[in-house]
Order: sequence, then structure tokens, then C-alpha cells
Amino acid sequence: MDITAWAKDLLVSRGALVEGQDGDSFRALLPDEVSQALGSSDWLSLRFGAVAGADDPGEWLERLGQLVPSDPRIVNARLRRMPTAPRIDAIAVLDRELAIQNGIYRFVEDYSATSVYYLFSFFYTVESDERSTGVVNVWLNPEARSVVAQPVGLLRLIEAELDPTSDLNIDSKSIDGFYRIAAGAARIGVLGSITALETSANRHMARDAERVRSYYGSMLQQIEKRIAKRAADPEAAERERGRAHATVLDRTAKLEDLFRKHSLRVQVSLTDVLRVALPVRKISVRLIRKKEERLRDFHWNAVLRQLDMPWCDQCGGIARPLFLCEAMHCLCKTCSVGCAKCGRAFCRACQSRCKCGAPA
Amino acid sequence: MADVRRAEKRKQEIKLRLAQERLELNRAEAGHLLAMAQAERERGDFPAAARDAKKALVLSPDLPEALDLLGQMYFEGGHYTESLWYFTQLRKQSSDPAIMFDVAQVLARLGRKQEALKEYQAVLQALALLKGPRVRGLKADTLAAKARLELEITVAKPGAESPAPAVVAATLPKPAEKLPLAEPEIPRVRVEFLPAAPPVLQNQPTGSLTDYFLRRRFLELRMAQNFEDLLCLGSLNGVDTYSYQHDTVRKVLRHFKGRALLADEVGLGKTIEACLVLKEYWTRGMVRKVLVLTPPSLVSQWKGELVEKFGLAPASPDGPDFRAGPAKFWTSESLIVASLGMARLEPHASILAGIAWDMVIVDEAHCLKNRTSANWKLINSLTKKFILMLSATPVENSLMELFNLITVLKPGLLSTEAEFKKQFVTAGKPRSPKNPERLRSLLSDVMIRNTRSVADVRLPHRIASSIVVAPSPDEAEVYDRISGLVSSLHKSNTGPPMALSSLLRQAGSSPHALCRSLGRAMREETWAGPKEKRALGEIQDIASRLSGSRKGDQLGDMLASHAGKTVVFTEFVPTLDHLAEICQRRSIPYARFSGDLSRPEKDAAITRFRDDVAVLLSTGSGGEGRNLQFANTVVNFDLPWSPMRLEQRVGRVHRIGQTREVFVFNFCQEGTIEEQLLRVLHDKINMFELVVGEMDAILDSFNGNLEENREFAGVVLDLWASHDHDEGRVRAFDELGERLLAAKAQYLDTRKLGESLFERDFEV
Repeated sequence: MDITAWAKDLLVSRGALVEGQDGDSFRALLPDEVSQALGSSDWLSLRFGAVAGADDPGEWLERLGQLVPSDPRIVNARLRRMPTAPRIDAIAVLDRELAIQNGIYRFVEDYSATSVYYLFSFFYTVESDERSTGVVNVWLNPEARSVVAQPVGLLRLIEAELDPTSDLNIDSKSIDGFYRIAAGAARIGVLGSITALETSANRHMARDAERVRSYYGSMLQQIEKRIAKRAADPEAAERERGRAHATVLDRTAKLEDLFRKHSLRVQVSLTDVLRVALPVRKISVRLIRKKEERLRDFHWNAVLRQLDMPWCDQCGGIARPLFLCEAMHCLCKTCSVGCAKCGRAFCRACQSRCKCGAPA
Repeated sequence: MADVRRAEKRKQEIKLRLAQERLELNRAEAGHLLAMAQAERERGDFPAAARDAKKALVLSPDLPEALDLLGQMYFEGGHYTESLWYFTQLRKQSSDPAIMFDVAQVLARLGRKQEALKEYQAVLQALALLKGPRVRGLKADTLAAKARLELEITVAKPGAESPAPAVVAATLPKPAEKLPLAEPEIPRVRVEFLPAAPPVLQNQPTGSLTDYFLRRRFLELRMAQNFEDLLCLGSLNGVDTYSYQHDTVRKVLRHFKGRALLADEVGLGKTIEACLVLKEYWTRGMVRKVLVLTPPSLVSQWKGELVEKFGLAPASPDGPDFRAGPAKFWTSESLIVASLGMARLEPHASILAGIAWDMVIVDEAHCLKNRTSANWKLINSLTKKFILMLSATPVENSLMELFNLITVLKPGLLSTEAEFKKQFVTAGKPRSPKNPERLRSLLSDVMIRNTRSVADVRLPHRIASSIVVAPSPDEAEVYDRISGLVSSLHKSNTGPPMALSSLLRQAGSSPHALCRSLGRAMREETWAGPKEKRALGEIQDIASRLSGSRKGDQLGDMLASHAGKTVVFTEFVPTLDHLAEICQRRSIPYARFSGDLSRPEKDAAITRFRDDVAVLLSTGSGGEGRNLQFANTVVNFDLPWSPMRLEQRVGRVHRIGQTREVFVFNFCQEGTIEEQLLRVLHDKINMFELVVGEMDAILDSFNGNLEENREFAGVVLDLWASHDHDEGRVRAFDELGERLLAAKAQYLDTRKLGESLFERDFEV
């Protein structure tokens, strides 16, 4: 989280000559295009930290941020030294980590290999009565149709070992499909990250709604008193009732306004995709549900030393425990529950609606 | 035979007369209690009013005024079932339409609408026979309430047979029947994902790995700049933080840019919020020179919290470093906690004014309300990047106090003094704002005031009782002798007050605690002469003969019969040992917790108490930093003379997360200083049933200025020692009680002013 180190690295990557003075300050000789982009002279001297006369880190972060590419790119990388995945007790790993709720599996074989992983990074903005931002990472292993449960942990483990490469043979047409899965998983990640924000918004909503209710409640009470007083004059009472009706409508509108104001609007956008081959142990199993059977590979990630979890074919989230449909789709619990209307079980990956007509 | 009958008759007459006298006496006492309850209700002290009204009912079970008072109070508090019970009792005694109206209202609130309707009908029938303005008013209210109820019933059951009279039913137009008069449910907020166009990824040139990581770091830095995530939360130790506190911290960091007045209601954790802000800045490297200024009594508490809970290492000007060179101390230490009273003195004030502070925190900032005071001048003179001011009562007597506070915080925000007066202060009413909306709008740039309702901190009630135990003759003699000795030494200024008060507190705790300290006192050379040593020796002889204590026996009886989880607090380890012996003797399983245990041993004791045993015997150290919400009974076997320490003890059990009523039993020996203290704290100001933090505010008002705050124990000793007889002591403690009561009234007044002035516009 050190802005000085980041600024130095950024400027060096853009061709500047940088000399550090101490931990929080440095001087740089900038190339013309960089100095123009930053609106500064050739010599740039920056000093951050809690010292008198320090530069404003917020301002410089935004200025220097202009030098960073803004559109999403796919970046290929490889491990500097590619280790071979060690032998494992595959049956024990499956016993421990794979939970199939409505089917069984039969172990076939396991062997060392490499598999290409995609790290999709998403930037999200949540707007409510205030604005909040964050980043969600999703690691996909498309070959095993699985996701990594600890996305940030995996990147930290391999970050220092990564080198750029251009020799990854990827079917670029599939990338859109991978993006769709990753975007689904990112939504689930965002929902998990904004729980505190949601709680806070609900608290604010309850507080403001209480004010509205109390205000209109007292108005309605007054109107009702007047209705009771004018019980002998039907026309006057009728007028008061009309006022009460209008007041109730107004209250409803105000509450709807509040609901809109406090509801969270989330915008998720892709920032980058990192593509990297990692050592895995491929474990082939036969998945069996009723009379259906399918051969499927699960990958044991040698860096994280854990099994990648199959993704849910419907929402892209982690399917743990794993539910199988008749067509052998892998589903998470949420996507395999019965229809909300009629209670009938149906696969949301197979059908967009239940037979009763209720949407998935 | 006739003689026997006459004697029997005479006996009966005497019995009857005695019973009548007792009844009269009870009635008189009940009347007195009722008057107290009414006065307490007027002051807004509802728990005390309820307690006294109930006491009055015990003495005179049919006392209508008490029933009415309790019914009204429970109704106002929203406890309708209890309210109905009292009104029903009253209804049995009287057919007053006003009481019937009350019953009907409670029934309506309880949802028993048909019964309520019948009761309203009965009210109208009763009123038909009466006349007068009061009757007219009640009739109008009844008609209105009845009509409303009928409407509700009609709306709720459109198809059902309506009991409403024809006139109401006939005048209801169709749309009106569907009016949703019932209050609408508040929906939970929706999380809506806005549609995003899928990025074009196919056939795009690949990016560079360096740029990839630079961009990641850029996003992380940008989020850190916006304080999206509180980095400090992961490094806290044993702090319960709540979402409103996180929101407060974020608001201070993001919107107020580190300059804010934290004016939460008492007990909501302003100190924690300020420490979180400090820790967040510290973690991000944005502050490296911090000054925390507090009242003298809170310096060690702040230091303790910063060290234990926030992992910071504050220094305070009480060590040899400071004495060796104050100037060097102030300039070299990076985080200093000091008392404001000391910092404002020269040469410190000048040195402090010459230092560039990254952050200044002022606790109990209402001491800056006076612009001409040395406190205000000091804080105003400091060079500071960030400043937090903490006060639950930013306005006490005049809006100008608020002006002075805010002017230190953000000079110019409220314009000049003259302009502020002109714009906002009503002439002749210094507490009443002329333009409240505008004032609130300006204040919203610097102030946060969370209330209990936003924080959703609704703690269950505390119910306290005093158990005054008559001592054995030997126990009484020991106490009288030590009390006499301490008083004479204190009056003659011979002994150090700390040592003397310690002796007296130990005597009030148990003879075992006293015995141990008497031995130490007899070796004392500085203040104990031969005469005193002889007296101490004699007391020790008597005390050492005592094998048990009446108080201990009573506690043993209570623990043996009490089923819930109970924490027994004492200040002294020998008393703790004595209590452990009692439990062992009576085969009561217990866990023992004291300051001399290692951390794992302490954890084990708490775990044992939580999982296995019903009793925790604990010294005062158990009162700090441990959450014991799973218990709901606190026994104060002895009383520290500091109300705040008592508050801390109860606070271990009565805190957020507690769902049951909390019972507090205060033990004391008859004829001791603790008995007087308890009379004042419990009976006069109802301390044990106050909301957490209110006692602090009351003491603050009581002291008038912050320097005296730490001297409450000293005040108590002075009062005790300056009188030789019980009567004088009772009178003196009564006066203390009156002063505290006045302080409580002042605090309640200030709280009310704050509520009306700020309402709920400053909540996060």
C-alpha cells in the first residue's frame, strides 16, 4: 500500500530515470510524453508521508493513474520454474474435499499435468446514499470447469514467480464463455463483500422510514380525529377521508423514494485477465447419478495444494456441495432448490422456467 | 370463665388496633413512596419511579394512584401487558370512565380490538350520565379512538361483520375502506446489479505483466485513499466494534477529513471510535505525532485501551523520562496521552504549541466550552492536522458553548461570534436556536451524534438490590476501631489518605483482607507511631480470631439457592480466598479469576465459568476487558469507592449482547462507609439501574470541573472521617446524595437539550 514505491515503479516502467532520496520521497527525470501527460516539468520531485510540506497522495494517485492503461487486457504469464505436481493420495483428497449431494463418484486415475488458469479481476462500484468501491477476483480453471476458492491467496503465492510469456496456446473464442462464468462468480463475490454496506443501508432505511411513518402516522391520527368529530356531517367526513387517502398515498411514495435511495446499485466491470499455466494433478472420476454416468476431471492445484471446486453451471459460483441434475449439470445449492411457486425440483441450467411457468 | 372471655376479647381488640395502626403506617409510608415516585417520573427517572410505586403497592396493594401511575408509565413505555394488568386492577376498584378509557386504549394496542371496542362503548355509556368540560373532552377522544378502531377492523376484515355503528359504516366510501391505515412494513433494501456491456476480449492484443501489477496496485491504493476498507480492524485485540462505529470512522475519515466532533450518546463507545480513527491513520502511516488530552482520571484508562486493544504504545507524562526533561519528552514521543489540566500549565503549553501535531484528540471536550479558559486557549493554539473532540454533551448552558467548540475544530464554520449570535441565538434564551435547520446543516459538516436507537443498543433492565448484613459483635468492634483510628489519623493529616482509605475499604470487605494489610501497616514507619501500632495490633488480634464473616455466610446462602450464572466481585485477594473457602465448604462449584493468573489461566477460568460452573469469584481485574454476557447476576461483595469501577464491574455482564434482565446484588456490612455509599448511589441516584455511561456524565456534572473527578473516593473518606457519630455521617452522606441528585438533574437537563437540539440529524 506504498504510494511512493508504486509511483517509482510506474515512472520507471514509462522510461523515467528515478532516484530515491529516502523512503517517502524521490526525484525523477521524465520522458516528454510522461511529463506532458502529468502536466509537470521534466524533473519531478515527490514527497509523501506525514511530514510538513508533503505532496497530497490522493491528487498524485489520480494524476499518475492516467499513465496506467484503463481498458481490460488479457495478460499471459508463466511460472519462472514450473514444478511438477507431486503424487498425492487422490482418493483421500476426493473423500475430503468433494461432496456430491445427490450422486456418487468412482475414482479412475490421477496424473501430473499443467492447466491454464484465468484470473478475472473485476472492479465494482456500489452506489447508495454513499459510494463505495472494491475489487473482486475470480480464478477459473476452464479445463476442469472449476474455480479456485482462495483467489487472492493463489496470486500472492505465485506473484514473485511470474514472468511474461507469449507461448500460451489458447482458443480465444472461448474467452467470452469464460467471462460469463467469471462474471456470475464475481456477482456472488461482490454480494459477500458488501454485506456490511447492505446492513448499514438497511439500518439507514429503517431509521428514515421510521421518521416518515411517524410523521404521516400523526397526520393520519389527526385526520381520524376530525373524521370522528364530523361523523354527523357526512360531506365533511368524506373530505377528511379523501385527505387521509392522499396522505397514505404520499406516505407510500415517500417510502418508495427511500427504498430507491437506500437500495444498492452495483456496477461491475472487468479490469484485467491474467492467464497462467500452473501445475496440477488431474484426477479422473466417473460421476454417477441414477442411470446417468459421466467421466469428469477434477484438478488438484499443486500451488494451493487443494482441489479446485467445480463451478455451478448456472450461476458460476462454487458448487460445494455439488448437486447433479438429470443431464449431469453441476449445480450449487441455490441453483438446485425447488421452484418457489410449486416446489418442484428443476435444473436451472437446463430450463429457464419451471414447468409451472415460474421463472428460475 | 368470663375473665377468660374478657381477656380473649381484649386480646382481639389489641390485635385489631395494632393491625389498624400498621395499616395506617403502611398507608402513610405508601403515600410518601408514591410522592417520590411521582417526582421521579416528572424528572424522567422512570426505573426509580416504577420501583417506588411498586414498593408503595406492597405496603398498600389497592393504592389507586400507584396503580394508575404504573399503568400510565408502562403504557408510555410500550409495555402494554403490564399496563393492562395495573389498569384492570384499577378498573375493579372504580367505574371512572377515564380508567375505562385507559383500559380500552391498552386493549387496542394489544390487538384485542373487539374487547377494546366494547370498553369504548362502556365509556360512552358511562359518560352519557355525566356532564362537564372534562367529560366533553373524554367523549371526543373516545369517539375518535372508537372510530379509528372500527375503521381498522373494517380494513383488516373487509368481509367480516363489522361491529361499527351504522353511521360510521354508512359514511365510509369504498376507497376509504381500503385505506392501508396499518403502518406499512419497511422492506429490506435491494441489491441491484446494473447491466454491463461485456468487454471485447477476443482478438485483442495482450497486455504487459508489469502494467497488470501496476494497475492492480493502483486500484488498491485508490481504495485505500478512499478508506473503503478499514485496515485497522484486523489488528485489534479484544475490541467489540459495531457497524455504526465503522460507519462513524469512515465518515470521519472520508467526509470530515479527520476533523470532527464525536457527540454520541453516553455508552455508545466514543472512545473506541476515536481510537479506531487514530489506529486507521496510524496503520496507513498518515500520523506519527499524536496528542491525546483527557481528564486526569482517564489518562490511565486511555493508555490501557491503546496498548491492550489497539496495539499502540502511548507515553504519558508521569514517568522519569518526563521528569528528566519535559521539553524532550513532548517533542520526542510520538503518541502521548496526557491530562488537559497538566498540559495547559506553563511551560508545557508553550512547548506543545510549538510542535506540529498530526493528530489531537480531546476527550470530554465540553471542557472547551469557555473561550476564555486556559483549556480552550491551549487547544486553539496547537498546530494540528487532524482533531477529534469527544463529548456527549456539547451544549449545556448556551449555544455559545457549541460555537466555541466548533470554532476550535473548524474556525469560521459558524462565522464570527457576533454573527453567530445574530443568526442563531434567540435573545434572552441562550439555549434556544433561532434558525435550527440552518444550524444543523452547518453542524452536519463536523459533527456525528449516534443515538441508542440508531445503534440499536437496547439493553435489558438492570435490577439492583442492597443486602445490608448485621455484623457479629467482633466484626462490629473491628470496624469501629479501625474506623476511629483512620478518622483520627485523617483528621490530624498524619496518614496518607491512600493507605487510610485502603485500610477502611479492606475492613469493609472482610476481616481477612484487613488482617493481611494490618500486618503491613504495623511495619510502616512513616506514619504509624508506637501508639498507632499498638492500636493496629489490638485490632489485628480481634480480626485474626474471626474465622468467618456474616456477609460471607449470607453470600453462601444466596449462592447455594441461586440458579443462574453469577459473578462475585471483590477488590481484595484475601477476600477472594475467603469466598473460595465458603464455596468449598458448601460444595458450590466455582471458577476463580484474579489479576495474578497468567493469560491462559484466565482464559481457562472464564471457559470453566461459561461451560461448567455457575459461580465466578473475581477480583476487580475481572472487571476489565472480559465479556461475561452469558451471566446475568453480579454480586458486589464489597464496594469500591469509585462509582466508575462499580460501573465497569456491572458492565462486564450488562453490555451489548445481553438479552436477559441483569440482577445486581450489593453486599455491605451495617454501620460501614459502604452502607452510606450504597444509600447514596443506589437509593438516591439509582446508579445501578442507570444506562451505561450515565454515571460518568453525572459525576462530571457533580465535580463541576475535571480535576476533582478523581477525588470521589477522597470526598467519601473526608465525609466519613470528619464526623464521629452516625447521625453526622448520615447527614453528611445525605448532603452528598443531594449534590449527586442535583448533578443527575443537570445531566438529564443537558441530555434533553441535546436531544431537542440535535434530534437524530447527526447519526451515521
